[in-house]
Amino acid sequence: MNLQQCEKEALVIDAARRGEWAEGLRAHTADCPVCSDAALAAQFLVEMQESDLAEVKVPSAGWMWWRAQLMAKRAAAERATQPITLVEQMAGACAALSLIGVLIWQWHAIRGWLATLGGTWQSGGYAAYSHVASRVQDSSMLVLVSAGAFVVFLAVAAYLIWAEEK
Amino acid sequence: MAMVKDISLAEVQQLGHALDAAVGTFQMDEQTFRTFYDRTARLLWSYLYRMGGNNGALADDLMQESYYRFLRIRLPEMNQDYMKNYLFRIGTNLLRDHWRQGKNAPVPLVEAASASRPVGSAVKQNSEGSSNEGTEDKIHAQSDMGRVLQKMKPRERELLWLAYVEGSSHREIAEIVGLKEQSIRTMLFRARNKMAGLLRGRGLVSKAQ
Repeated sequence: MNLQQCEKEALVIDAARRGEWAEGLRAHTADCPVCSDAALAAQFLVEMQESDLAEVKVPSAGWMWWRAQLMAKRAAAERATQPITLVEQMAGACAALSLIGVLIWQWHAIRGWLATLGGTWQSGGYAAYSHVASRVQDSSMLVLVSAGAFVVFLAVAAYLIWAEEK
Repeated sequence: MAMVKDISLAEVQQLGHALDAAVGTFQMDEQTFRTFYDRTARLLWSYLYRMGGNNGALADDLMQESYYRFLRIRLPEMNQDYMKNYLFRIGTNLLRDHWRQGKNAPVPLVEAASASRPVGSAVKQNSEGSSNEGTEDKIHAQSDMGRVLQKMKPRERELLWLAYVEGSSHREIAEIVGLKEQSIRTMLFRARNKMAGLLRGRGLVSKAQ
């Protein structure tokens, strides 16, 4: 026996785990500081585990298998849609860059248009109202066409949903 | 507002193939898994629960993640004991990742121990007055148990649990906790001394004495 080890330590731990002590081993444990510490620590921890095992209710094996499959499918779906998401993000970035580019390229024209709009607005409420009203009249046909297209789109969408449910 | 992603038919088919492939991802068949799970689940849960600071929700989550990762890994042919060690190794690593992310402290033990866990009889009190089986004594004893574990470092608890509860060899412990086999003996010796000192300091002695 040395300070760290005793040749009977494994037997003592086994006895402590099972709670069955041979008389000779019990006497040895009482005298040996290594085995005494090992027995005390083992009993303390084994008792904790016993209380856990008596109380814990783990999910069934079938549920855990199903859950693992679900997690695997989710991970696979994420991997499969990663390129699509990437392309979408790149398209968004390209659109934003293009918009910034057009703003820079056509800045003089845009500034002139904004100045005209501002002048119209400053020239009086009535003038502004007339300007906007005329614009609305000009674009009324466009609004009607858009509304018609929206209604047709809604009808087609409703039909597709109905057909899928059927 | 929910975002709806446009997806082409080809992309749907690609996704379907990926999902079909995912079902066949596991190396282990269901029957083998069921046998292995029934043998190890409660042991793993108890380990994760005690090492994670008596946190039942954390133990549930980590157990689920441990089995999932275990099933995803392509392991060579091995016996059930080695598979169990591998599972415990995954659980130990997940616990460490959890602490590293600072999600919660590893040792909120005293309150949890005194709130829910019964005390058995393996460790007995070393004084006349404490042989009484009253509720108050049980609560005190539970708090003592909680405090003893609270004083131990997570690594010390892992070593002691694996050696004394799971009965793992030094080599197996080294594989599970990711240390060299040679250093396990010394670390285990120190941890055991520390725990025994703490238990004796609270008047607890081994049943063998």
